[in-house]
Amino acid sequence: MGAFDTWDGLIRQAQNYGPYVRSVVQKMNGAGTVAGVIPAARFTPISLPASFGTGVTGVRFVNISSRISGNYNMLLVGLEYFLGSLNLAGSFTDGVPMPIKKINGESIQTASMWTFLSVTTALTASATLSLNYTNETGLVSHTTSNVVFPLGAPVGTSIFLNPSLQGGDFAVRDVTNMTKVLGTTGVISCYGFLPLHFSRGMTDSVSYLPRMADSSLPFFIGEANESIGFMGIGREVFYSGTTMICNLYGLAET
Amino acid sequence: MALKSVNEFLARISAGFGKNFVGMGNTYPNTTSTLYQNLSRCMKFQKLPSSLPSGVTSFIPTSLTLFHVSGPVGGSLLFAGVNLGTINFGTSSFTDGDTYPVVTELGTASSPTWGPIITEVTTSLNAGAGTATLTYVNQAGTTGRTVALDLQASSIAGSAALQVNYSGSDYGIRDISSVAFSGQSAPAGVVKLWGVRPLAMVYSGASSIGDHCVADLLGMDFNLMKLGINTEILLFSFATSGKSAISELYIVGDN
Repeated sequence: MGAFDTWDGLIRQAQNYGPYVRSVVQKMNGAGTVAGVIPAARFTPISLPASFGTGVTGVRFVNISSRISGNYNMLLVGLEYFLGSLNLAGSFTDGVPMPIKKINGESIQTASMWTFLSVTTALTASATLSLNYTNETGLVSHTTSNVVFPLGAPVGTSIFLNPSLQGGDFAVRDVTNMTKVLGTTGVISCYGFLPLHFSRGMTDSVSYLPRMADSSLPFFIGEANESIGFMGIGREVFYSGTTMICNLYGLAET
Repeated sequence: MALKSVNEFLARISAGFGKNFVGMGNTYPNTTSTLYQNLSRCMKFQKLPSSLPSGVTSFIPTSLTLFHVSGPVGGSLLFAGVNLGTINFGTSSFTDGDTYPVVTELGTASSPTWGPIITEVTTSLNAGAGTATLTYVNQAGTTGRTVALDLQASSIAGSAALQVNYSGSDYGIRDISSVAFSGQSAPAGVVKLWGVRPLAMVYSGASSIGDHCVADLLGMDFNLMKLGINTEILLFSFATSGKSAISELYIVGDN
């Protein structure tokens, strides 16, 4: 019987190894700029510890609660992966492919169904770009349609990439190139997510659905040095002052 | 030894090692600030004992019941407060407190922790309170980081706010090192700085008297944490106007 198969197992993991407990509070500082079919705003990710104790292979988040201010916003909390970036004055920098994760004991090549383009250095003019990528089944050299960022989009302005994927695709395993169509200066980065938690509710409210009951998401294990990312999604998310709070409770994966 | 099963917790309670701690109070809006800085009072529960009872090694909260007496709908954050220090605007001084605790975490002993700050106004700030700039140690242990306190002048006693700004790309604080003051004119006011070790987030869904919510910290809201002596447990309400509540927190003494 696995450590997480019983309530007693959770108690033992907490008592034997000590839980990972953090509260994260961040505010969006950009001016209100809405971009894309589904606009979003990227908060600063946090880093998991560089190493764990003997026998610990990662952290399983059994309880995540969050809240994001403003109406019609939701918050995605997940393991975030830098897939690549495009310097509009230069070239493409490759990132990492989506990882192989152990899910229910089986090693699975993951693909990101929640992929975003985010401004990581402010744009001085509007920008248009497209991406080459490997899709969820491993087919290479697929191409997105053009994605447009508005004039002067500040750092954090994000666009949900899925509506722009090649017909029939729903996820990204790897980004192999990013091509500028229009633009002058600034950097746009691509991030993939393995979701751990979504804030729920369409108004300014608390999402506290316990992870233990949230059977819609697998328990992706956070490994050493991986990032927990926070992406606000919604038309009002990029108002200056949009704030999120997220509480993370994780137990040792052994 | 430590309690390691539900049955052991039940046996412990039967043996008399469980206790209800009650918290109650009104909350007050901070009308000078914007959303998330316009937030309400930290309602405090009874402080945990100043010494460990015989046979107890730590205190483990197991459930929270929040009775919403009046006020708007909205969420509340239950947390164990870390006393990071007190800022006295009137005397332009800072009394240092503790750091975020160093704990055993994911099998690693002596792991430093970090988190946000919740500011609680204990004596009202006047219009001349000025700006307090915190020098802090960030989440990675880098010292000398600075940021202005978000809390605004004229904030009234009883109000509280999340500190939402940091220096650069920082996202957490381990410790407050010092505080500098500027722009003051016959200042007054005292602010307590709380670190946040989250226990539960609950939501009051109705504004009528009698609404209640429950967090099961050994069950569906699993959040087993061991707390030490003198820990203050606080309830921070996300609300743009005042609300009143009574809260009950059940704690079991670990062995």
